[in-house]
Amino acid sequence: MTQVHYANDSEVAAKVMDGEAILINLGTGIYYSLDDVASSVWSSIEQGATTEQVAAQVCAQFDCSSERALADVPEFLATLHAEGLIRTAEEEPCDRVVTTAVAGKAGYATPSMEKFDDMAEMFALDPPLPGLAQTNPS
Amino acid sequence: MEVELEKSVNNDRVAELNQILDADEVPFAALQRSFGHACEVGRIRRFVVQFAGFPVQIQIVGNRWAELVGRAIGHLPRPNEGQAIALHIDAWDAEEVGVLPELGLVDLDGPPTVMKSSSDGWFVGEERHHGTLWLDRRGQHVTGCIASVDALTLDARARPFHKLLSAWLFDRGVQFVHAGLVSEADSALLFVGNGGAGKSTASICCLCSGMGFLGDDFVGISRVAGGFVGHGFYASCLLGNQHIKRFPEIAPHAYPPNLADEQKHVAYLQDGFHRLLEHQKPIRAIALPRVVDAPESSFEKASKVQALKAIAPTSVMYLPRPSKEAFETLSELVASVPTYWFNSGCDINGIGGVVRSFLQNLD
Repeated sequence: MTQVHYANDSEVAAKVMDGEAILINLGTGIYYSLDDVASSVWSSIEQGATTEQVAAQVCAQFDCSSERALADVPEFLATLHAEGLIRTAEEEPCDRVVTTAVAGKAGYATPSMEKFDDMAEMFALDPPLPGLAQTNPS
Repeated sequence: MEVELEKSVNNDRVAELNQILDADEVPFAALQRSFGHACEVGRIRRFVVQFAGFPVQIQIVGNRWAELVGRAIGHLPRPNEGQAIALHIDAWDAEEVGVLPELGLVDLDGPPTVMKSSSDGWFVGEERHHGTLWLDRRGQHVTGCIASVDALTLDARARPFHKLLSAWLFDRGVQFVHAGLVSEADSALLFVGNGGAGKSTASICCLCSGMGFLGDDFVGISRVAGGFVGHGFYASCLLGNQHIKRFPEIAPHAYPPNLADEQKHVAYLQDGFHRLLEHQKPIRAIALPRVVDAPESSFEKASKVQALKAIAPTSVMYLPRPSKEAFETLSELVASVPTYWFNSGCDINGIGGVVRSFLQNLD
C-alpha cells in the first residue's frame, strides 16, 4: 500500500492555464495562485499521484535534481493538505501518472503558492444560499 | 448592528449564516398570505420586464419601494407578444402598507443576513435586517417584504431582488459575474477585478463618454454559439464621494445612503442616460483595470490566468451557489476572448475615448 494524493474535488475548483493555476476553496472562499512548479504538482495530483510520481513529473518538466524534488515536493504537498486542497488515500501502487518528458526544461524554483482570504469578508456579509445544489428544478 | 469581520471564515460561522429548514418551517405560504393582505390595503404597482430574455412580473405594494424598483429596472425591455411570464415576484413594504408579515420581521439582534433553504432545495430565502424574500424554485415565484424603504441597504436599493434573481437565472444558464460591462456598437468589454480595482470608475467613465452601459459591478453572462453574451439588469451604480465630484453629470441622480455605516451613494441612470442603457451585448474582450502613473490610459496584454484570478473569486463566491460549474464557465469565458490590463491613467476624461477606440479596432 502507498499514499496517493488527490485533489479535494468536492470542495476545490481549479484551473491550470498557461502553466499557472488558480484554485478556489468553495467552502471557505479562500483562493490561491500557484506558480509554474506548483501548478505541475497540482496537475499531477488531479489524476491522483504518489509523492514520488509528482516529484518525477517535476524533474521531467523543470531543471531539477530528483533529490531536490523529493525534498521540496513533500513539503508543498503538506501545505496543500493543511489548506484542505488535497486528500490522501492508502492504495495499492500502480502507474496512474504518465511522466511527460519536456524538451527544453524550464528553470526550477521551490514550488510556491499565494493565498488570498479577502473573500472571507464577503462571506460574512453575504453568505451563499445553502442546499441549492441538491435539486435541479429543470 | 455591526458585524465582526473575521479574516478567515470557519465552518461554524458559515453554518450560522445559512440554515437548512424542514418543509414545515419554510415561511413561503405565510408570506404569500401576508402579501394577499397587503394587496387588500395598498395599491399594486406592476412591472413586466425581461431579465436576460426571461419575462418577469414584479408586483410591489408600497409606492415608495415601487418607485425605487422602477428606477432600477424600468429600462429593461418588455416581453414579446405572447411570451408567458417565467417568474412572478410579489412583495410589499410592511411599514408603508401597514401589514406585517404573518411570522414577523427579522430579528434585528441577529446577523444582518441569513440565507436559508428547504431541505429539498426547492425553497431558498434571504432574511436580512431590511426584509425577507423567498424563492419557490419549482413554482417560479418570489415573495416577501421589506421592513421599510428607509431600512434598505445600498445594495438592495441599487439591485432589488438580485440574490434570488441570480439563483433563478443560474438555473436557466445565466450567471451573475462581479464585473462592469460597457459597449460600443455590437461589442462589449468586461471590466473585472476585486473591489477597488477600478471597474466602476472605468465603466462610469465610459457611460459618461456616451458608450453603452450594462452595469458597473454585477452583470450576467450566458453562453451562445461562438462565445458569451453579457446581460445588463440594473440602471444603477454605486458612487463613492470621489465619484460624485468626478462625474457631475451623474451627481443630480445620486441619493445618499440610508444606513450610518454605508459610505456610497446610489445613482439611478434612467433619467439622464436612458438611451445608453443596453441589456444584452456580445462580450468581445476582458479588461483588468489598474491605476498607473501615466498621462493617458492604455491597454496591455494580460495572461489568461491573470484574468481568471481577477474575475473568478468574487464572481464564484458571490453566487448563491458557489460551484465548480460556475468556475468552469468563467474559465471558458476567459479562454474565449482576448484579455488585457486596462492601465488607467491620469486623464480620467479620456478613458471613454480609449476604450471606444479599443473596441472599434478589436479584431
